[in-house]
Amino acid sequence: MKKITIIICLSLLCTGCIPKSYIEKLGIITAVGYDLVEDSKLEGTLVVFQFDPTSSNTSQIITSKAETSKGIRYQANRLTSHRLVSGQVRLALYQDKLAEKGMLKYMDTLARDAKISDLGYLAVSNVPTSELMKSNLSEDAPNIGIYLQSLIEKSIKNQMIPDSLINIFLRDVHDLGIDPVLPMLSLNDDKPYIHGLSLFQDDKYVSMLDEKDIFHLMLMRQRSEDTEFQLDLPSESLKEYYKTENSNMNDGTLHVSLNDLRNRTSFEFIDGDFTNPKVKIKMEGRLMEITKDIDLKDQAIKALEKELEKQLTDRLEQLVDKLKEKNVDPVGFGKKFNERHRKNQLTEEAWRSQIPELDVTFDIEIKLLRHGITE
Amino acid sequence: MNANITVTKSQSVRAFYLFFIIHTIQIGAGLMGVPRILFLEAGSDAWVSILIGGLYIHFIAWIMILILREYENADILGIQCDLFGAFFGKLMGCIFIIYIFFILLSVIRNYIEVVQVFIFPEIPIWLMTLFLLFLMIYCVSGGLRVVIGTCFLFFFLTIWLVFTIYTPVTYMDWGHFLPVFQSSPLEILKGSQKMTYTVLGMEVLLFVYPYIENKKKIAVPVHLAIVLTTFLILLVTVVSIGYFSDYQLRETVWATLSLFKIVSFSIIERFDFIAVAIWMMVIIPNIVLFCWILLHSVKRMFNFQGKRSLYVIAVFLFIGSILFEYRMSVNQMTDLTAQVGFYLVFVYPLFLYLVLQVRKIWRKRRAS
Repeated sequence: MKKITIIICLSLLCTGCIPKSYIEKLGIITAVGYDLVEDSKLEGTLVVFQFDPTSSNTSQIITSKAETSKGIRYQANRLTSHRLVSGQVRLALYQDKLAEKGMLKYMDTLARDAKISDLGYLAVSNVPTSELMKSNLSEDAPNIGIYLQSLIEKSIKNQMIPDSLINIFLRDVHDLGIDPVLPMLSLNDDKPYIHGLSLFQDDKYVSMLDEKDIFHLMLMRQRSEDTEFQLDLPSESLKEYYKTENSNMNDGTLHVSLNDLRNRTSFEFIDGDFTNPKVKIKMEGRLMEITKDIDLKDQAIKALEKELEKQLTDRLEQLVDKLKEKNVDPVGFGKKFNERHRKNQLTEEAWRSQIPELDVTFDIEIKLLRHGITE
Repeated sequence: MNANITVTKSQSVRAFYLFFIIHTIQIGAGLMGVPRILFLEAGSDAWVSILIGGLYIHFIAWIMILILREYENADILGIQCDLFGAFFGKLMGCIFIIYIFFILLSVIRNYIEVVQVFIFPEIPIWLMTLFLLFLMIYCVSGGLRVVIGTCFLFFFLTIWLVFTIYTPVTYMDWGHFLPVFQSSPLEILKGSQKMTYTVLGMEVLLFVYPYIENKKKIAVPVHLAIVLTTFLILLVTVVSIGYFSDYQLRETVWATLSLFKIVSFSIIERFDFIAVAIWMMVIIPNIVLFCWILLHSVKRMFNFQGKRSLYVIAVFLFIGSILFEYRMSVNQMTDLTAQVGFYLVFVYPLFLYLVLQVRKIWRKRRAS
C-alpha cells in the first residue's frame, strides 16, 4: 500500500513537467491565406480565434511577411499577445499567382507537421487572400475562416465541387496520371464565393474552369449520387410533343433541370491505346423543371433523353478540348489507363505529352425515371 | 536445469487466455508503421505479402505447439538445455534474453518517439520512459496472472479503435491496387519477411506454455489470435494503400496513426490525439509480457529471485532508452532486433523441431 501511494504521488508530480496550454492565452488559427508579394516573398494572413473573457471580439486577423509559412507564424507571434497554435487550421488559401509557382513548396509544413489536421481544405483565390480574409460578410459564422471552411465543406457535401481536402490534393499531385483540382474563391461585392474550379498541372496552377463546367468534370471524375444540373436545348427540339402549338410559352430555348441524379462512369481504351479512350456515363435522375409545355408521354421522354444525351456529349467534348488546350488531365485518363494495362504503362512524360492528342469518345445514357407529380 | 517446471494450480491459467496473450503481444509498436514498411518492399501488392506471411505464422505456431507437446511441462529454456546440453542451452537462453530486452526497449522507444512527434514535442524521453516503467513494474510484480489479466483488459479497451478506420475507408481510391501482381514474387516474399517485425512476440508461447492448465486445447486460441493479428495488419495496410498516394505512403512514417488524422467526431475534433494516447494501452500489454518473459528467463537460468531482478531490468531499460537520442538510431536498433527476431522466432523453431525428431529416431534405433 505504501509503495502504491508513493508511485501515485510521484506520477502526480511528474504531470507538472508536461507543458500546459491555457486556452485564454492561445490564439487558435482557423484559416491561413498566402499571397505573393515582391516577387518572392510570402505574405500570410492568419485568421485567429481567441477566448479572452474580457474582450467581446473573438477573432482577429494578422498579416505578416516571411519566406516560409512557418516563418509567417513566427513573425505573426510578434504581433499578438496570444500564443499562436496551428492545431485547428481548417483552410489554407493560396493566391493564384502563388499557386502558379507550385503549391508543394508552400505546403510542406501542412504535410509534415503532425499538429495540423488532415481535415483542412485547400483553395485558390483569384483576389489577394488578404482582401478575401478581411471581408466582414461572413453570415452567422463566428469568423471569416470558419465561414469559408463551411462554404467549401457544404459544397463538397452537396457534390457541387470535387473534394479539396489537403490529403486528397496531395494524393492527386503524387499519383501518376491525374491532375488535382481545387475550388477557386473570389469576391463579389465584398462577399467571398466559389467562383469556379482551378486546374493544376501537377502542383502548378494553370487555369480556371467555369462554374458551369464543374458538373461536367465531376461526371467524368467520380461516381456520385444526388446531384443536380441544368441543360438548355435548342428551341426546335421536341417540337412535335408540344401540347399546344401556339402558346407563348413555347418561344426561346428549352431549359431542363434534373435532380436526384446518380451517375456511373466507366473508361475503356480502344485497342489499348491511351489516346483513344471511350467514356461511358450512365445517369439516372428525375426531371424537375422544364420550361416548355410538353406532353410527357413515353416517346416524349425517350426523345428528351436522346436530346439531353446529345447536348451533354457536346458539352463534354468542349470541356475535353479545353483541358487538352491547357495540357491538364484532371479526369485522370492516364491513371485509368495504368490501372487497366499491365504492359506499356505510361510514364509521367509520356502521359503529359500525349494529353493534347487525346481523342475521347463518349457514350452517354440518361434515364429519366420520374418527372414529379404532374404528367 | 530441469526441462520441466512444476506449476501449482494457483499459478496457472486456462488455455482460452492464450488468445489475448498472443494477440496483444503481436499487436504493438509495429502496427503503427507496418503499411509503409510493407509498401516499400512489395508496392501495392503488399496485401499478398500479408496473406503469405500470415500463413507462415500459422505454420510456425503449429511447429511450436508440436515442439512443446514433446515434453510434459517445459518451456523453451529447458528444452534447449535438454537438447544441446547445459552450456549451449544457456547460451541460446542468453541470446533470447538479449533479444527480448532489445525488443522491449524498441517498443518503449518507438512509442515515445510517436508521442513526441504527435502530442508533446517538448516532453523529455526520460520522463516518458519513467511513466511506462512504473506501470510495467507495478504490473509485472503482480505475477503472471496479473500480466495476463492486463492483456485481457487492454484488449477490450483498445479493439474498438478498429471501427474508427471507417472514415479513411470512405476516402480510399481502389484504383491504387490495380493492376494487381505488379511486384515480382521475390519482392512479395521480402514483404512477408518484413511483416514479421509486427508479429514478433509469438515466442511468448514457448515461455508461457508450462503455465497453461488445459494444454490439449491450446491450438484453437493460438491460431485465432494469429488470424485476428493478420486481419488487422491487412486492414490497416489495405486502407493505407488506398488512402495515400504512392509517394505519400513512402514518406509517411506512421501511416496507421496518420489514418486517424482524418477521423473526427463532433465532440472530439482531433481524434488523432486521442488515438495516440490510447495507443499506450496497446503498448502496455506488449511491455508487460516481454518484461515477464525477461524476468522469467533470468529467474530460470541464473536463479535470480525476487523483485530485485525486476528493478535491475527497469534500470537497464531506463538507461538504454535515454541513450538512443536520434530517431535514426532508434530505427537502426529496431531493424536489427527485427532481423534477429526473424531468425529466432521464425526459423529457429524449425531447427529445434528437426533436432527433436532426429533425436527421437536415434533413441528408437538405440533401444531396438
